[in-house]
Amino acid sequence: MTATQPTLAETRDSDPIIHVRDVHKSYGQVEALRGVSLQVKRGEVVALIGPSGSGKSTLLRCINHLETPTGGVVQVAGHVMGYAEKRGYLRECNQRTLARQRRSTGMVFQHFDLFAHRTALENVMEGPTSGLGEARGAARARAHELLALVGLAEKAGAYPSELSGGQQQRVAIARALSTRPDVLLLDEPTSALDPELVGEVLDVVTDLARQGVTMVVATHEITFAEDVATTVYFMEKGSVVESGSPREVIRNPVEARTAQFLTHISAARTATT
Amino acid sequence: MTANVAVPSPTKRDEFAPLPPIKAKSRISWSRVLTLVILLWVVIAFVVGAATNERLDWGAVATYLFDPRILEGLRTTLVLTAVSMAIATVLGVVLALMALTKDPTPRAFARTYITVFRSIPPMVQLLFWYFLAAILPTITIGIPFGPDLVTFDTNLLITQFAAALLGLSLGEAAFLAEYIRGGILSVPRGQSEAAAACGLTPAKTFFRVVFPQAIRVILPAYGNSLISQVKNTAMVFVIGAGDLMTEAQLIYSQNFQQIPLLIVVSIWYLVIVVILTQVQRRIENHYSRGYTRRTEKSPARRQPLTADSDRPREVTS
Repeated sequence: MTATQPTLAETRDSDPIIHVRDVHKSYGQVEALRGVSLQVKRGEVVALIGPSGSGKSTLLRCINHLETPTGGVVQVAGHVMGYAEKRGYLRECNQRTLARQRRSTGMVFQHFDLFAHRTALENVMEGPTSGLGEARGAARARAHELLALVGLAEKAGAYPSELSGGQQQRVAIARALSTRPDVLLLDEPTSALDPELVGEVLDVVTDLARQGVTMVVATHEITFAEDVATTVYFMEKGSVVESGSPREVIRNPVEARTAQFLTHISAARTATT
Repeated sequence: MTANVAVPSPTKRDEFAPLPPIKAKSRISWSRVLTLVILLWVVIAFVVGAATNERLDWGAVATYLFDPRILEGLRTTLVLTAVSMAIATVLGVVLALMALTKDPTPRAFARTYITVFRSIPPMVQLLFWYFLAAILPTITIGIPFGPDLVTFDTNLLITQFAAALLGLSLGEAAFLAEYIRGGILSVPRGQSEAAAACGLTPAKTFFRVVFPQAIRVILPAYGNSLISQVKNTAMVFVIGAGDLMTEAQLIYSQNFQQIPLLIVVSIWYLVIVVILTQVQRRIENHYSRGYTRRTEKSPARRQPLTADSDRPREVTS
């Protein structure tokens, strides 16, 4: 269901879909990212965990260039995001080229951010029609399929204000998949949801992961990360502290800070349940 | 159970002391009657006074209401309103966008334009454009300090109608720019970020996502502007631009039926504004899609709900 063919002829399946190289981001004096590097291969599910303000969201937003890194580069599906090659040099590209490069990623936001003036169906059609220039008929058919995939076929005509948070987020996932991206970026997809709605969204994400959709997920749901992720990155204060398989990072963390964070989170979990 | 238990137990509500029956409100509200009497008296006095005044020629009102000159003036008023609003809207959007960019040059330009044109009364602007030829006999388009490309005679270029259009639209654009800017700012940033993440270019993001949502916020103020613009066109009679008011004035300067003709003019403005108000209401309803809960009357696209439609479908891999 997601595009499996490489977008550029020279990319091979074994090449990383995302290659983040020493990315820095600072807002004035505040350093949000202090040199983060990571690779995501096709079919991998990467979970970014860490305390609030550790740079997980900033990293995701640097990957699709919603934020421009102040240092380092991000390659997605062979493109150096935000740059175009001209006479052997990489030069900052224009907004049109950046928009095209962004189409290899799909993003799911913490606060859903569905287009409020459009129905669920129209939300899922917007990217293919206005972004990719697909015919409305084909886009509509595919949007219906995607809504069925997230279990909301019946809600095609509903406006976001008529949907629950969980339903909105599932529409947002369908929207993120609508442009056939190589990788899905999920920015704390369940943090803004009521506890009883978290499950339905995580179920959809888990299904997608099982189907081989490449994903990078920033999350506070440790159990979910452990179940679904192939690689877990623990971030703190803008740096990656530790990374590896969920078994390594979550079950047997090497770094004291990781262990401390995990104990803290599980303590908070038990307190609320 | 004793009757003198002070605090009734919350589980047994029967133990609350019974209240006397509540009577529906039936008392005559004297203040309302008084209001009715006073206002009715005012209205009747006005209507009777107007109807029985022998010096007020209602026949003339009826005669001139559909006079060809008045209808021609009405047409000019409508054209002036429509064209000046169209120019002001486009210019307003451009100015709003200039005011919102990060580039300081267009921002300073927009801010100066808005300050200047909002400050000068429309009547002054109207006369200014009309008398422009006095200081600027020809208008030349060319390269500064270089060759001239085209030269126009100002008196031929700026007719009464053109001066009226300039006077009405340039000032209005400054007001609209502020409403539009406010409307655009009211759309949450997440909306344009989501559009960008979907691969939309900044232009598409603006026209497909941000602006349609800004319109909902802009519309009430825009409707007000449109209505005052209809009435502002009456000012162009000072330069004789041929609108409703110009025609009425031409007629009453010959027959001295000022009040009947002013009533004719008032009736037409009233008709236009009432129609525009209805149109505005409909347009506002259209753009509030997704913001108001749909009522029983408009279940337009609501889909039937089934018990398990709400759960993610089983995905076979």
